[in-house]
This record gives sequence, structure tokens and C-alpha cells, in this order.
Amino acid sequence: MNLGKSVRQISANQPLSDWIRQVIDRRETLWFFVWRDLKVQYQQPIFGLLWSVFQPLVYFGVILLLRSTTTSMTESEMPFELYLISGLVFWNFTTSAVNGAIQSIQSNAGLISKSYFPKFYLILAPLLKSTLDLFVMFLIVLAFSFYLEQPLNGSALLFIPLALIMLWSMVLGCSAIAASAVVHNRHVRHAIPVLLYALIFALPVFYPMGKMNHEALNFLYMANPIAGAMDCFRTAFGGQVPAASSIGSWAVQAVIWLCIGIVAFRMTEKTLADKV
Amino acid sequence: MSAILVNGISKSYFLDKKKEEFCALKDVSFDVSEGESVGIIGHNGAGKSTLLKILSGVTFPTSGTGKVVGSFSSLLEIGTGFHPDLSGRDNIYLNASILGVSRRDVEAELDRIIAFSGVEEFIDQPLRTYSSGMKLRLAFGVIAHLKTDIVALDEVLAVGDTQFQLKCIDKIFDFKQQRRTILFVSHNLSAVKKLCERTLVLSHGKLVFDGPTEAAISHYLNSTQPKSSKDEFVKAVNISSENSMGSLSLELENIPFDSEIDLGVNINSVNGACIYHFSNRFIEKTLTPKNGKLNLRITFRHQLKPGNYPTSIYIGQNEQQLCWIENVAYFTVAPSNPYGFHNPDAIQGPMITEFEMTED
Repeated sequence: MNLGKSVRQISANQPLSDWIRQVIDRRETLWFFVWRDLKVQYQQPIFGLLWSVFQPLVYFGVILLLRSTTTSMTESEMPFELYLISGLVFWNFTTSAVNGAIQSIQSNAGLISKSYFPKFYLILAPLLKSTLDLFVMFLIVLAFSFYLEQPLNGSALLFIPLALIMLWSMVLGCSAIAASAVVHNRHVRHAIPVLLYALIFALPVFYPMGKMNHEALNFLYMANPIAGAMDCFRTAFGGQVPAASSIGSWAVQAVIWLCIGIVAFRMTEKTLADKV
Repeated sequence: MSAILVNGISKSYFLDKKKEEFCALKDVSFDVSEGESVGIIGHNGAGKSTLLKILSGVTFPTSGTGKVVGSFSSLLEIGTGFHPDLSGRDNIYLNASILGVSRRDVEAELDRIIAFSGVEEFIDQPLRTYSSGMKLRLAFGVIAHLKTDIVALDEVLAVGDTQFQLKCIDKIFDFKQQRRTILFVSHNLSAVKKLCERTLVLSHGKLVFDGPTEAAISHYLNSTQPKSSKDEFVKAVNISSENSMGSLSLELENIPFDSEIDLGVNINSVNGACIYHFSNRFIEKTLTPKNGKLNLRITFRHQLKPGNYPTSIYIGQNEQQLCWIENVAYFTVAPSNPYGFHNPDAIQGPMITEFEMTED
């Protein structure tokens, strides 16, 4: 009689294998979360599209304006406009995914305390939505690249997906850590958007990579996998092949961040329904 | 074949700021067979909802193990996961998906869900335009038509109008015929009696009775005897009645925070049914303790017959219960006969009111 029926174990500690299986089995719910957020955003399609590119384009304009008054900004091999827009796109993806994860935990509090589904979807869904926005922005980057006569090339086609995967796993890890921190202490909620905003200066968005005055600062700057993804992206876009050693170290870091994020989130998840 | 098996499940919370452990469930074990309808009763805060949350996977137990065989849907709160900006149709899919039902299964039942809820004309309108009754019907429609093996219902029948409640009861009887396993949490003892052959009684987190519903209900009613001890929060209660006006004064102390609290007072009949319910939430009054203290007076008009009525008090914050004291005091209505009835002791029920009889 019970053949084919799923058996769910109840215990204080859910094994990692069960956790992963649940996340995979219930994926339709994840699509629904993404679909729900998209449907709400794109009810008026023009505005939906506008909001997904609004923030990076506004910053783009402001920084270009700023550049006309100072000469200390980057002089890279690629046109500054392209350098800037690619940096902004990556930065915007990071902030919107992490902020989205925090908001998603808060706005779905009723759902968390009342119904069962893999809670990790609350982190994944905003990330997927930000990924779609990222692709929309990416079209704009492509438009820029053709306009500035620096079209896609073989290296870019190969390494850009790699850069995106590194970015993605890094940001997923960060989102999970940020969401866990907010669940443990609500006040962190106010700090995280500020920190994310500061990233626009702490990442090579409009400054050149590795040109800090201090060695230690340079090291920190370069050690950041988001910066790594940006560099990989830009190098590939410029038609060159990124150094294997730096790619390797960034990839390892991105995976470590992801693992820390998952472990932190699994610890938070145990009492999540009691805390929100 | 077992549908649900739990073994020594306990759950404790840490109350914020107090750093004190609060045990919501203590060593609960039971076993529900496939197709069985089981009632769960107990006073507020006995752990009924916590138990359902653990079974549904919403939260994890602190210790103990168990297993749930088959798909499980729970209606812990009406319209969980509804989004106000999406249409009724979209919300059906969303709600079903959160309950773990696939899109294909929903499509097969979509028309029936819409018909059951009676919201055909509005199905493509955003949910924010729905009345609360329509949302409720839609939510119940979803759970009623999805073929999950186990259904958990928590106080579903406490809301909605009478006609809809009857429709729900009918539907729940359909679940029984379909041999779906039902867990039914309710304060409505007559509904439990109708639906369930077997009932669990929870008291202060412990499973105190597990057996036939009739016996469970009498066990539950007998266990709610008046007790004189007051809780640490309630310093003094004074309740009295004069000329059909009741007056209750309450002194609270030791409340661990000076933020808004919710307070409810129930006046019950001797067999436990609530007759009057007062709460600041119904009149949008905010209650804020100062230095953990709060003095309060409630006055009300009543139609109770002479007699003693046990009174209970609930104090909570943000839906979290701080304390629930049953039979904290008796509301005593002195013998009187305001309407000059003959033989007033023979009047049935707890209320008395003036009436006229005319022949046509």
C-alpha cells in the first residue's frame, strides 16, 4: 500500500543528504517563488524592465560625470565606459541578491512559520531573480561593447560563464550568511545594505585592480572572489586569457564561501520557524 | 500501516531576554494508522500547534524521532503564502506548490477548486480585491481538492460563516471516505466528536490521554478543574457582577518587557465552553506595561444566569503566549430574578433574557 509513498523522517538533526534531496525534489516550489516575484515585478513590463536596470544605469551616469572632474580613475586597456558598466553590473547583482535574501526571509515570515518547504529557497529565489536581471543588464553590456567596437571573442565566450559561476556561488554563500546573521540578530538588517553599498568602493568598479598604495590592502582587494569574477570577466572581454593561478584561487574561495553559507544556513534553519 | 509515527518528541523554546527554557512538548509518542481520523484537543498553549508544526516539517523537535509516510498538507493558517498582487488563479498554483503539490495535479482539479470556493467571477482579479471570506474559501478549496495522503487541520472551522463551516465539515467527511489520514485540532468538541473516533489530549506539552474520543473529551473536561494558584504574572484578579453589569479588575506584574502585550479574558461555562471573550485586540486598544506592571479594568454587560463561571486569562505578545491561566477566578452572579420568571432555576443554558409569547 505504501509503495511509492515518500517517507519523511522527523528528528532534531536533518542529515545533509536529506536536506539536499529535499532541495532538489521540491524544486517546483522554487520556480513558483521566482515566478511569483517576477510576475509581481513585471505586471507593468516596462517598469519591470526599468527597475532591473535602473540602479546600475543611474550610478553609471553619476560616475561618468565624476570622472570628467578628476583624472585619477582607471586607465585600463578597455574603454572606461565598458570597464565601469561591467563592474556596476557585478556589484548590482551582489547587492540585489543579498538584500533580496534578507527581505525574502522577512517578507515570508508567515510562510516560514506556517508551512513546510525547503527554506533554502528563500535564499535561492531572490538570487535567481537577480540572475535574470543580470542577464538583462548583460545585454546592455553587449550593446556597449559593440558600440565601443570591442565585440565578444572566443576567450570571452569561454571565460565569462566561468566568471559568472564563481560570482554566483560566492554571492549565494554570502546571501545565506547574511540571512542567517539577520535571523540571529535583527539589527544586522540595517548594517548589511550599508556594507553592500560600500562595496562599490571596495570592489574594482571604477578603480583599477591592484593599484592600492598599501600591500595588505591590495591583497585584500585581490583576495575577494567578486573582484576576481570581475577581473576574469574583463580580461576575457579584452580578448586575453586570465591567469590560471588566479582563477584557481578565486574558484576555491568561491566554493569555500558557498560551503560556509550552507552550513550557517542549515544551523539557522533549525530554529528559523520559531524566530521569525 | 502507520501514516505517522512519533517517538518521544520534545520541543523547547528559549524565551527571548529571559534566557529561560520553555517546554512546549514533552516526550510525546503516538502512532496514527493510514486512513485514521485523529482529534487533538487541549487548552490554549498545550502544544497542539507545535505538534502539528513538527509533523508538517515547519520546525524541528529538540529531541525525539518520527516519520511521516506519504504527502502531508496542513492548513495551519488560512491562505498561507497567498500574495495580494497575484490573481486568485495564480494564488491557487502558488498555494498548492507550497503545500508540495505539482502543477499538473492542480490543473486537473482547478475548475473544482474554483467552483467550491464560489469565486468564479473574481478568479482573475488580484487577491487584494477579495474579501476575507473569499480568501478563506479559496484556501480551503485548495487543500480540500489536493490529493495529499495526510491532512492536518488546525482550527479551520473557527472562521467563516455557518454555511461555509457546514460545507467544510462535508468536505472533511469526504476526506474520511477517501481514506485520507486526518489530524484535526480544534476547540470545537462537538466537531471533534463527529469526525474522529480517536482523540489525543495534550496538557502543558504532555500527551495525557490517547483513546476513544468520548473518553478523551470527558478526560479533558475533568482536568480543567478550578485551581486557586495564580500565575507569576497575575497579582490580583477581582471579578464581580451587579445588575447585569460585570466588572473585572486585574493587576499584572513581573511582565518581562515593557512593550505592547495582548490580553484576553474568557468567561466560560462550567463544562468549559467559552461564553464571553474580551480582548484588547477586538477594540484596538494597546496595552503597555510600565516596569512590568499593568492595572486594568474591564466592564461589560452580560445576560448570565445566577451561578459561578470560571474565568481564564491569556497574556501574550506578538502571537507568542506568555501565560494562559485557566480558572483564575470565578465570576459569580448572585441569585436574582430580574424578569420575574416563575421557576427560574428550570431555565436551560447559561443565559437568561426577557421574552414575549404571543398567539396569532
